[in-house]
Amino acid sequence: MNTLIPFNWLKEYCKTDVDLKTFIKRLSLVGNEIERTIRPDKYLARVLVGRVKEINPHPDADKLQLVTTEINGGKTVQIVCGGTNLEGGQLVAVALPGALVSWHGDNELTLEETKIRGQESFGMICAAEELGFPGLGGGTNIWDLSGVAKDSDVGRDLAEVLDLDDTVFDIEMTTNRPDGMAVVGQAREACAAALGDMDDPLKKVPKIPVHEGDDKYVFNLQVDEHDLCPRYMGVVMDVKVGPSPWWLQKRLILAGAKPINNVVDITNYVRLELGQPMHAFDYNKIDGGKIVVRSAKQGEKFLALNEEEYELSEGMLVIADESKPVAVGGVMGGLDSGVSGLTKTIILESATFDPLSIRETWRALNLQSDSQALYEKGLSTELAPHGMARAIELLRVLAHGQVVGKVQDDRKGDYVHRAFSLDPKKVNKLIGIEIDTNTQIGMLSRLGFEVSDTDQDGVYEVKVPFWRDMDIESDVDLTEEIARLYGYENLPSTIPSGVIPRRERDTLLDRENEIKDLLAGSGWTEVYANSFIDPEDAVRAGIDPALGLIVMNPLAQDQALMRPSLIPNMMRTIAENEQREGVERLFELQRVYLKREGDLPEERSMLLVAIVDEVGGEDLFRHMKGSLEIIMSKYHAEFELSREGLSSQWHPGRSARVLVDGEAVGTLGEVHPIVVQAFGVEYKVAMMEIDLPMLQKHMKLDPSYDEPTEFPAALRDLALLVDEKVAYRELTETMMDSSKLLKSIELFDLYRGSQIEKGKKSLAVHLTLADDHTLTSEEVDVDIKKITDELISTHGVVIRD
Amino acid sequence: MSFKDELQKLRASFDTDLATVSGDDELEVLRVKYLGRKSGLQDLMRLLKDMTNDERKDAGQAANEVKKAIESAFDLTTTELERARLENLATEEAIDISLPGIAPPVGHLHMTTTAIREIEGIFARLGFTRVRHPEVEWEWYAFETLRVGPDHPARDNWETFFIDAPADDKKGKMVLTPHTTNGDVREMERGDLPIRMMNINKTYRRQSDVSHVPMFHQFEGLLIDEGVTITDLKGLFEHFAKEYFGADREIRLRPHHFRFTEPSFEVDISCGLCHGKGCRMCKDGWVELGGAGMLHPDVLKAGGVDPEKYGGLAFGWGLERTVSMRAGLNISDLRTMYSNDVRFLQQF
Repeated sequence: MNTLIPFNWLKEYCKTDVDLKTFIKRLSLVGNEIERTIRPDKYLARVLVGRVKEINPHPDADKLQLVTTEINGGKTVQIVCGGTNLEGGQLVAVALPGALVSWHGDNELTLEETKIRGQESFGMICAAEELGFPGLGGGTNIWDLSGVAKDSDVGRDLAEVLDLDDTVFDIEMTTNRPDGMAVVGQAREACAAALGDMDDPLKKVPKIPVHEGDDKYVFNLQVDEHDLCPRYMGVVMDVKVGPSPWWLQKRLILAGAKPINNVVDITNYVRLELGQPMHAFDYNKIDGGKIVVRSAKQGEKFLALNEEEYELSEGMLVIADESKPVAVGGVMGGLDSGVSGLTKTIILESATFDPLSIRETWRALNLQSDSQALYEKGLSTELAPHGMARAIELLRVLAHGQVVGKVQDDRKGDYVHRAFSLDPKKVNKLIGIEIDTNTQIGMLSRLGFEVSDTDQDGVYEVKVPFWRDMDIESDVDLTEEIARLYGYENLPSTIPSGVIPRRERDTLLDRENEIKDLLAGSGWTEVYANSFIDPEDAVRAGIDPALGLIVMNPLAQDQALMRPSLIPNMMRTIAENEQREGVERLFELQRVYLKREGDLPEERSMLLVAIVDEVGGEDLFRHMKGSLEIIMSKYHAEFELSREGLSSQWHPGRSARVLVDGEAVGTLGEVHPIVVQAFGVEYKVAMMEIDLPMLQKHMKLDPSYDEPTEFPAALRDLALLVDEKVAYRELTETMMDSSKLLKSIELFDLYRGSQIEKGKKSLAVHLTLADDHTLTSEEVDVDIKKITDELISTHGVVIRD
Repeated sequence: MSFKDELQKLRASFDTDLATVSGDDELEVLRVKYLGRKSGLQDLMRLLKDMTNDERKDAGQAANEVKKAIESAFDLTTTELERARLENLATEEAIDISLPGIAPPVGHLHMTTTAIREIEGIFARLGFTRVRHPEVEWEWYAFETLRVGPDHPARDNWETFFIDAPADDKKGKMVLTPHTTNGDVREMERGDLPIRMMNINKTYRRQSDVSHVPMFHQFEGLLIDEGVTITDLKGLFEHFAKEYFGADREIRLRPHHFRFTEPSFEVDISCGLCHGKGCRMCKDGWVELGGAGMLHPDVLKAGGVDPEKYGGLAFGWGLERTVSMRAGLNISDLRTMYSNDVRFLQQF
C-alpha cells in the first residue's frame, strides 16, 4: 500500500538537517521504499494571485468571458476564461504566459500569450486541478482563493502565499507495517535510520481531558462484539463547524485527502499523522444518544457517506444507534449521521477493529476507504487513546471544541506488551558479521523498543512498543530490525560454504530436454499453453473434462479446467495461427493434470507434436511418423503401430496407437475431422501424443553397438507394382523373411496415378545385402530371386524393370 | 623411310601437337592419337613381329623409348594443366554467393524453456539440483507450513485459485500453488540435509494484465545448512545477477516482508539501460528482481529441521519477469509469452 508523506510534516517530529537526496535514499534502504517524490509547486511557476476586476461577455463565444484581472504591481490584464463561478472581486490563481499547467488536470501545457476567438488573453485563470490539486475538487471551476489568500496577496507568487515549498514522499509500505503508513511512523523510521532526532508523541501518555461534573448530553456506549471491536472510545463534544485553516487543508491535500470542513478534516488529519482512523457522528442524528457496536441484521439497509446504499448481512460489524446502523465499523460512516455545516455537537469515535472482519466486510460490500485500509492491516488497541487525545486537542483549537461529557472507553481485557529475549550472538550468526551489543540495543531503542540490560550470558530483554504489536512475533523479527538498520548495503557477500549435497536427479527432466532439442532441431516450434482450458474445448477435442480438475474461482468460465490433455490447447493454437501462417509444425511438452480420488492429481509429462497442412492422408501421417522414428531411434526403442483401441479424437483410418514392448506409449495420426471442425480449423491436422513416463520405461540409454562389417554390402533396387490393399509393412516382412542376406530396405519412391493400373501402387526400394564375406554377384542374384519369388507368390506383386 | 626415321617423325609430330594443347580435352584427343590402339606408334609396333631378332631388339628398344617419352610428356602436361586450373579457381569456378541459403528445417524452443535451462545451469554450478514439486498443492504446503494462516489475504479466493475437490483433514484445501515455495517443506520432509534445491515450476495467481499472467513460472532456490547467513544470500544473488545479466550488474537488498522468511528482502538489480544512473525504466537506477529471505524457524520446524542447528535461505522469483528484464528484450505485455502466436515464437 502506498502512503503519501509530506516532508515538512514529517520534520515536525523528526528534527533533521540531512539533505533531501540522502534522506530519501536512506529511508528507502531501511525498508520504506520511496517510489517517487512529488513537488507540490510543480505547476506553480509563474502563477500569481490575481483579483477579478471586471467580467464581460466574449463577443464571439457564448461560453467564454473576458476577465479584467489585476496582477502584480496594480497592473491589469485581459484573460479569456470559461469558468462559471467567476465573481467580481474574487481572488484567483493566474497562470502567466510561460507557466506550465496541467491542462484539465491531465496533459501538461505551457501557456502562451494568445488570442482566443479573436480576443487577447494574457495567461489563464486556473482551476485547482490545473495547478496539480485535483484533490481540492471543483472540477473545471476556477479555484476561488478567497478563503486561503488575502487582498494584500494580489500579485504575489501563489506557491509562496500557499507555502508549498515541500516534497511529498510516495512510500510503498509492506502490509505488516501499518505504523509506517502515517507521518509519525515515517518520522520514527527516519530517526531510527540515524537521519534525525525523534520527538515521539506515541511514547507519551495521551492527554485526554477529563470532564468535570454531569454530562451535558445523554451518551451511552454498548459493545456487543468485543472480538470484532476490541476497543471503542467515544466522547461528546460541542463544536463550531467551518472551513479548516489553509495549513491543515494543505497537509491533507498533500497527503492525499480532500478537505471538507474542520471537524472531518481533523479526523483525517489524525489518521494521516498517527495512523489511527477517527470518525465523528452528528450527535443530533444519533437516536437515543446511544452507540451500539453490534453485528448487522441480515438484509439491514445502510446508506453510506459515498451516497450508495448497501444491504448488510449478519456477521458484519456495524456501529448503530437505538434504531439503525450509522456506520459499518471501521469501513465507512453513514450519510445521514455525518458532520455537516449544521452540526453543533458530535460523538467522536476512536476505535480498534478486527482486521479479518474488516477485510471480509469490505470485500463482501465492495466498499473501500482510507480507514478500512489501515484497519485491515491490524492496529493496536493502545493507539486509540492517542488518536482521541490528538483529535480533541485540534478540535479545541480549530473548531471551538468542548468536551461536554465523560470519555467512554470500552475494551476487551487488559493490554500486555509483547517481550522477547534476544541473544546478540544469535543475531550475528544469522547476519554473518559482528555487530556489538550496544549498537544492537541502540538500534532497537531508536525504533521505540524498550531494552533491558544484558544478563550474564549477554542476553537482553526487548519489550515491543504497541505500534509493532502485529509484526514483531519472535526474536528473529528483532534480528531483522537490527540487520536492516545496519544496512544490507554494508554487508559483504559470501558464496555459501559447506558440502554440496547429493540429490537424486529427476531424470525425466533430462529426457524432456533432449526431446525438446531433437524436435526444435528438426523444424518444430515449441509452444507453452495455459494450464487452464475451457471445459467446452475438452469436449470438442473428445476428452472427458471429468479427467481433469475444475477450478472453483477461475478468472473466466472458459479457463475453468486444469487440462487433462494437451490436445485442446494445441487445437486452439492451430486455429488461431491458421489465418496467419498456414502450414505449421508445433510441439508442446508439459505436464497435464489427471484427477485422483482423495489425493492431489497426477502431474504427468506429455509430449504433443502437431503438423498442419492443406491435405491430410499418407504424406501428413508419414511426416508425423518420421519424428516418432527419430525419437524412438534416439532411445533405441522399437515401436509398433496398432489400429486397435484408438480413442475418439483420432481419425480411425489414419491413426494408430504406438506400442513399445507391447505397451501403449502414445498415439500417432490424423485428428478426427469432427474435432478439427469443432475448432473451426480448415486445414488437416496430424498429431503425435506421447506419454513420457511410459516411454521412459522402455528407453535404452546405454545401448550396445554392432561392429560395422568390413565386407562391402551389395546394393540392389527393386520396383514393385502391388495392390493398394497390401501394406508396405507386409511387403518388407515378406522380403526380410525370404533372405538371410537382406539387411535393410529403404523405400525411395511411391507412386499412384495415371501411369499405372487403378487400385495399384508402385513402390521402389533400395535393398542392402551383406554377409561375413564379400558377396559374389551370383549369391546376391540367388537371394534377390528368392525375394521376388516370395513377393509374387504371397502378394501378387509385379516386379517392374 | 627406316623404322627409326618413322619413329623420329612421329616424335616430332607429337612435340608439335603437344605444344598447341591448352586443355584436358585436347590432351585426351592427343593421347588417343599417339598412344591409342589405332595410333601411329601402335602401327609401328605391329611391324616388329615381322623383323629379325636382332632388328627387333634394336627397333623395339627405340620404339619403347619414344613411347615412354610421350607418356612422360603427357604426365607432365597433365600436371601443368591441373596447376593452371587450380590457379584460376577464383575466376573459373566463381559462384554467386549472394543467392539465399538453402536452410535445413529449423524449429524454435520457447523462450521460457531456454530461460529455465540457463537459470538451472547457473545455480547448478553452486550445487543446486533442479527438482519439480507439485503445481496442484494442498494448502498445508502452499500456506500453512509457511506461516500463511487461514486469515491471510493470499488465501482468499481473490488471489489464489482453488480446486473443486474435497479438502484433506490435515492438509486443507487443494489449490494451484501461488509460489514455488510450496516445495520447501516438501524438500525438507525427504529428510536429507544439507539441501540445495532449485524448484522451477508453474505457479498461479488470479491476476491478468500487461505485467501479470495468471499462469507463470517461478524458480525457487532453497539452501539449508549449518551457519547459513544473510551474507551468503547476498553472495548467491550476486553470482546469479552477474551470470544471468552480465558482469557489470550489481545487486542490492532492501527490507521487505514475507511470512515465511525473517528477515525478508526485496532484491534489486542495477538497471541495464542506464547502468545505475536512473531512467524512466527504473527507480533511481535499480529494478526489482524478486523476493528472498532467511527461512523462518517455524518453517524449518514444519519441515522437521532443527532451527537451533540449521539455518536456511530461500528465494522464489518470477521467471517471466526475470527474462523480460534482460537488456534488449522488451516485452511490453507479458501475456504475449503464452499467446502462442507463431510470429512471436519463431523469433527465439
